[in-house]
Amino acid sequence: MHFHFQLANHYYGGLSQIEDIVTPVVWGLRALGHRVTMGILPQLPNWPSVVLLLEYFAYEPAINSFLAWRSDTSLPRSCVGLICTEDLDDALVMNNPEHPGRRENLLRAFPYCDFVWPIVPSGYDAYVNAERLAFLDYGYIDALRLEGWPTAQRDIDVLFYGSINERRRAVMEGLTARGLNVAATRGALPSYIARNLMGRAKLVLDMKRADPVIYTSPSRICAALQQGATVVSELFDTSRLRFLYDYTEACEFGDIVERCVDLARSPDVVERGLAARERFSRGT
Amino acid sequence: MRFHFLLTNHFRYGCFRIEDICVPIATGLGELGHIVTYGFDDDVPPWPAVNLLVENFNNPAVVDQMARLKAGPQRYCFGVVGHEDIADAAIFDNPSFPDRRRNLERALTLADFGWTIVPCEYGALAGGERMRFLEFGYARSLRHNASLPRDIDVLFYGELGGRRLPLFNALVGRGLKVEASFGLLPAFFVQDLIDRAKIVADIGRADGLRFLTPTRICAALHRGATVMSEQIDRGPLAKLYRYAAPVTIDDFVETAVAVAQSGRAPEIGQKARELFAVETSMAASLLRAMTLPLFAELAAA
Repeated sequence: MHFHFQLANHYYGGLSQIEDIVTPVVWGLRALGHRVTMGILPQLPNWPSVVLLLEYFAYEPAINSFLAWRSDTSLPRSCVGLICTEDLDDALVMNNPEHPGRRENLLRAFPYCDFVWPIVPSGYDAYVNAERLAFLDYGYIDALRLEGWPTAQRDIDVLFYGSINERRRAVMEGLTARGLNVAATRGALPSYIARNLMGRAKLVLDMKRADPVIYTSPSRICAALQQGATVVSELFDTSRLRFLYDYTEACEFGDIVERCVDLARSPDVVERGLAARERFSRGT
Repeated sequence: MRFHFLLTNHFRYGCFRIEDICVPIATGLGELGHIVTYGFDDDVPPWPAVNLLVENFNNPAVVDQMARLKAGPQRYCFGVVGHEDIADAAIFDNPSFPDRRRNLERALTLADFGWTIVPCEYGALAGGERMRFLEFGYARSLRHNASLPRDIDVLFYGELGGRRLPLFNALVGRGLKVEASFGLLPAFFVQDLIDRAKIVADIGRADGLRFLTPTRICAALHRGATVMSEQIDRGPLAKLYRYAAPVTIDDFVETAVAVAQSGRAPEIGQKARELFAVETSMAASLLRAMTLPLFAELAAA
């Protein structure tokens, strides 16, 4: 089959932040023998090609042009799949004044999609019929496997994967106070820099951005595991995504600093990540 | 040695635009056995690490930082990577970037050395005598054998702008499938487009440019695409026409249509890449650019 990622609704700043979400889907489909293309130009392939959209309809023109295209009965048949990455009930995302209308517009889009693939097990079944809804578990992909640096050259003790906010900064300062060398990907670094940082790090730290968040980030954990990183994950998710903790050094928020200190000083810190990646490759 | 790209002046979206500059240099240095790292802000390792600053100092903060560190008790080493023609008024006399030239000139006086990837006239500037031409070449680690069908006829690499857009539209009008990287798409996206492209179009953004864009040509060649480059360059970079087919802007559309429809584009691209691999080397170019006494001192440190 032919899958075409139409990413114009993320142009251009947003495109820099979705690589960890898009590339596993692209290369997972290619591993199954499908043809996958990406684009931002308005020409879209007709049925039997599948147009894949990644949710983000914060702005009216994006949702309106989508609905107009899908409502135009004079056009040839098309097929649309929507990948959803966020918790529908996360007010920080779905009711954020910087992204007005994001939730409402997503709900408007659902009836016009042939299928929906959520990557977090939020309440999508309340809005999408079961026959059009399939959960997408992130897993290992050989094409995205990368190698980190030799242990002796790993000069970053802990790398924060994501932007630094007040919640994460408190942990960052705790780690620094304990003498660890700490760095951060800052949320929007291109992959050639983020991968360099990850390759240099003994530990990659995966923390939620805010207390109310209830789902971990499969794209972030998988990106780190693909590079053989030893991932310290904040332990809070009780959903089906908790299986990802099997491949991380998971611990609760209050224990993160001590866990990182212990691990960073452990002689097998790098080997733990490499072993986790092997388990990840066999188990997912 | 450790080379550290200090990219504060490009954070955050600028970092996406200089990947084609940084990655080949980093890869070539890695093939020579050096360690390459990236950092921002106060992450400035002291001597004997080499801090590489990629030009665009319209905001003077990083140049001010260089000056402060150079004046302090600890020794630091800085190298400036130039990537634009200093005679190009659209870049260096652009009212949107009023301080770009002045701060480049300041940076050159502070830097221990510089590498320019376009062979323009730095010699007349204070500190310019420490600049060396860095010829972009083949790096084995950047080679990528695309497994995707080449279903895009022509890919415009860069912003479309007023000069490229008519060519884009003319090709669409001739029934070709045409795409563009728009200058700001992230690498995972652009690389996918290159892998699908029969032809990568390397057309100048404006009339009167003197130099080819080695970063663009090299990125496409490493991925086996056929490159068609506008015939503008008569200097050392004209060597790249051995691997990128020269074409005038007037002939571009007809030539692109003929090549795209010939079915020979993949073969042309692969042959060009093999020639590029035999005749050029990013690592060897870097060694030539490291002929200053400074590097012997660094190697001994």
